[in-house]
Amino acid sequence: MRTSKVLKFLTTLGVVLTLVGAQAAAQEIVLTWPCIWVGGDAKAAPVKEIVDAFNAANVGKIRVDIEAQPNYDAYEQKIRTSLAAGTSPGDIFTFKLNPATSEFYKSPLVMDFSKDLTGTWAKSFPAASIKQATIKGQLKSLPFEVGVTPVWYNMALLKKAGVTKVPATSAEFWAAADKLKALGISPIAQNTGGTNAYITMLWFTQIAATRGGENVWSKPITDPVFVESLKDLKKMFSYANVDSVGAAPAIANGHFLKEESAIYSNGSWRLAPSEKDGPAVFSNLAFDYLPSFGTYKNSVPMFLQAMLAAGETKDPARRAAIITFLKVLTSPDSVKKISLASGAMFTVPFTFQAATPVEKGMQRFMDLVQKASFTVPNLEVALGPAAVAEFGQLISKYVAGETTEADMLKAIAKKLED
Amino acid sequence: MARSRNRNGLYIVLFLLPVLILFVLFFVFPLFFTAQTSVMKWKGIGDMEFIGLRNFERLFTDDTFQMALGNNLIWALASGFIQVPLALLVAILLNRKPKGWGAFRTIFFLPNVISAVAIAMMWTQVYNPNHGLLNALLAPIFPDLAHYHWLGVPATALAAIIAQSVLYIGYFMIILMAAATNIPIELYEAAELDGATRTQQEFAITIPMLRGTLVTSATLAMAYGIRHFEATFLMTGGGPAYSTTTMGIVLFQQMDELQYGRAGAVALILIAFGTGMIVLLRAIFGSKDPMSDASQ
Repeated sequence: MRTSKVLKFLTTLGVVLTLVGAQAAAQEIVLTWPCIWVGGDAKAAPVKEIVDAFNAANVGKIRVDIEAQPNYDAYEQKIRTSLAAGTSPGDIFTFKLNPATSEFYKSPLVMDFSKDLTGTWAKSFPAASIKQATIKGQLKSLPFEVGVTPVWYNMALLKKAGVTKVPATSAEFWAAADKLKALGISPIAQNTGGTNAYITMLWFTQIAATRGGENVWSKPITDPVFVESLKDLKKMFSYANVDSVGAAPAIANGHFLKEESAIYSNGSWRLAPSEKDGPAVFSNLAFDYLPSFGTYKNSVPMFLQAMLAAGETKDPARRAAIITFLKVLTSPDSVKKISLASGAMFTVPFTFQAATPVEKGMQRFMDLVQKASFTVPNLEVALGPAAVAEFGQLISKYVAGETTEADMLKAIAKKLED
Repeated sequence: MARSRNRNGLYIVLFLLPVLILFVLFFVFPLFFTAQTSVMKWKGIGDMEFIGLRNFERLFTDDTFQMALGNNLIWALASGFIQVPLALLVAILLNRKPKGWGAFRTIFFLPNVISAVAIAMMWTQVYNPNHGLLNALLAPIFPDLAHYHWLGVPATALAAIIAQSVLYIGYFMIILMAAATNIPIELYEAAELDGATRTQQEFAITIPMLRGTLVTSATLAMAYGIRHFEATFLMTGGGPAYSTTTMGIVLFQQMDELQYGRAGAVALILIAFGTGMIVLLRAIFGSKDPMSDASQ
């Protein structure tokens, strides 16, 4: 009898708790964010902090769940295949905007922010970046992270080789490379592997910009500017790390941080990791424009590195929750937090005093942008993943002398026809 | 009697139905969808546009795809005619039960339970031009190879990946060892009485008796070779200069470039290529199993 009463009580309690739980769950909107800023990424900690604070402030109403996706290539693949398969990759996600990913704007699965981005939220973004992210009147992604990729010099190694200042001309650049090579190190870090031959692609971009100017990418890829740029790039490979062909970007990063290479190019997001993993190198860094190989001086690659996007929803409450979170994430306070912790740069401006070494590095990047004659997007952003994949494959053949500049550029042009 | 047979037939259909539904849903339907996309221009998002056989035409006139076809053929041949014979050799040696044969069997099979990703990463390190094991071993004899970049030079990259792959013979070794244990012992006893040596016995009894299993193993190995993807993708991404690319890599790259129509065409060619090669292999070597004849 007593047992029966206890059982009845427990059953009732279970039913009540389930109903209460279901009610609470029904009220709380859970947003998934497949995110690359996780694990060892320099932005991981501040992003987690922002998400945790947001979740704490919205308990029972909105919760953002980060789905860790630490591999950049795999992440991009997931976004592409999900959208192609007719599935939203998540409530919030990021991608690089280029001629191929602009196809995402055609997907009904991607939210259009054009009516949401108003008032102070709209004012927090530079108008030029919003214009860049708007395609046929649709704003299906918000310009968030900016890539600025000048040349990085390890001044300690340069001084050891007898070079006391950053090369200002191409002649000085090659002379410095010769002296560094004589020291027994590989002067210039390169990599042709991965999906975009990242570091080598950045070098090519910089050379082409100094030869072709601000609108270099509007020229046909078979233009003599690119032929000459390839010749310069080939010369650079005679000073590159021995494993540059086929190497992932991490290999080039590693050579630079281990002082096996002295000249390198990458974005400001590498500042914090460099300070952590190569403090000796970090304390001797200098950043500058690539000396002119042609007629144009003081240019630096600058491009939209990460766009924030959201999964379309017909549920107004869910839509409002997504917008609420994105407003928090793109607020100057959040952006400042992520930026200062990682060294990454963003479209949303914020004020800061360059106090720490990473912040001083960021300040230098900003100065380079401000003082630049012009900025250019990199090859991948300008021409898309198919062109850069072909570039990455053929550059190894080209530097090995197995194909000519003309044939390599013709092959890239063929890819662009698609 | 007839009713019982009908009922049995109904049971067979009922039991097969779930598998049949799954097969249609997850194999036949995707196959037809792939065939449909192969004649379309489709970015994966938005509408498809019918373009006839243009995707196939483009692929067959593309140098990279031709290279991938050639590499797939090399992979299939290497898997079928290097990996399987190596497995046979080891299976025969271990079947003689030398000292420690159990441990060797485990060692040879061990790579089959290790992730392909881990193995590919390990071999990338072995081939590393700066601190790789291979160069360290070769450098004292061939000083020029001290910093040779095996995976970075088109001439050696494909051979380097295939070499690491065909060494993993464990799976076929186990199949062949299991089959060899079923060979009637009387055949060996009779051969011994006739004065045949162990080597003669292997050539005259073991290998002919394993013919059916060998053909099956070679078929499987070649099928794996044709659809090869992981190690190449992880070790070279199909480079340098597409020298290691395969149809699987081309398919992946087409999807990566949002060329889903062309990716569908690659998939169909891959299926046709694989089927053709297996049919050819069975036609040449036959599928008759001497072992089943012996047991009858």
